[in-house]
Amino acid sequence: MSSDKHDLVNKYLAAKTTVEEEEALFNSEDQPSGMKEWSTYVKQKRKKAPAHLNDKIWASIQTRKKRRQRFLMGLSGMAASIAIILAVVVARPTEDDLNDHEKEVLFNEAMSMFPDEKNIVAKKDILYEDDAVIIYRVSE
Amino acid sequence: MKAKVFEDKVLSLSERIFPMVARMLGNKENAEDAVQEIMIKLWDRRKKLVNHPNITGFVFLTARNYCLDRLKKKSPEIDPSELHLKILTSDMNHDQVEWKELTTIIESILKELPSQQREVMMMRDIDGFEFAEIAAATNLKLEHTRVLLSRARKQVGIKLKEIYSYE
Repeated sequence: MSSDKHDLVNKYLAAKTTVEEEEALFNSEDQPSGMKEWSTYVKQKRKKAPAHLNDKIWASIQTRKKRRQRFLMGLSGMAASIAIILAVVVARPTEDDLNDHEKEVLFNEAMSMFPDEKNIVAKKDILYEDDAVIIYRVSE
Repeated sequence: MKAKVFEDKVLSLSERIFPMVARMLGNKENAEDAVQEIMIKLWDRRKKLVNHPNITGFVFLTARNYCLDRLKKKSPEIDPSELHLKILTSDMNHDQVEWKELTTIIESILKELPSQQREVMMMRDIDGFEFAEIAAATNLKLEHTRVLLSRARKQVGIKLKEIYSYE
């Protein structure tokens, strides 16, 4: 083994080599015992990334991004629909919730505000009467 | 972080982290999915990443932590190619027998190393990481990684020399 190679091995053992120098050392034919076996192991164990890995991952991130945008759009559409439905329900004009009996009570109460109505009718002296009009005279 | 910056600064490291992920998970097939998941996690955190002082280091650290989490949940899977070799043990040729023997010897030597030394040595020699990348991934100081690596290399070298110098 040359002295240069010997120095490189020492440098490697001291962890002072660069990745490129180590690469050259692992691929070298002329290696000391121990180093040769380690180089064989290293070369066999190395795993290389599949081709176009970055592109595949980027495509999947973009697909995920679009899917999320669609989901958010759907969600906001749904929220808007619910808001419209709620607005319609809340703003709906209230129904007349009096039943017939209550209406009758109110009517009677209103009528009671005219206590002389029956007397007035009894005392009246009808001058003219048809289907639409009654003209009468009352003596007080 | 804008998409283009993410693509240049983070996604471009997918191929760099792949060897470590494949080695740690023990299965090249699943490593591709794992790297994808790591990148998606980083994409989701891209707003926080903008101000990170060492984005590259953070990517390596995230990848290693992801693998460690996966390993905690289940044991590493066997690479189908290695499984195939094991099935064909009886039909192995001379090279395959030698390779199997070498692997067994080296892995037993590596097992004897302290875990930090072993990990640093694997990251440097098998995964081809720079010292800064190893330091970031392991949360160690750069000089400390050199010391650990040197000790590991010397120890492995001595053991291998002991075994193979007699042949």
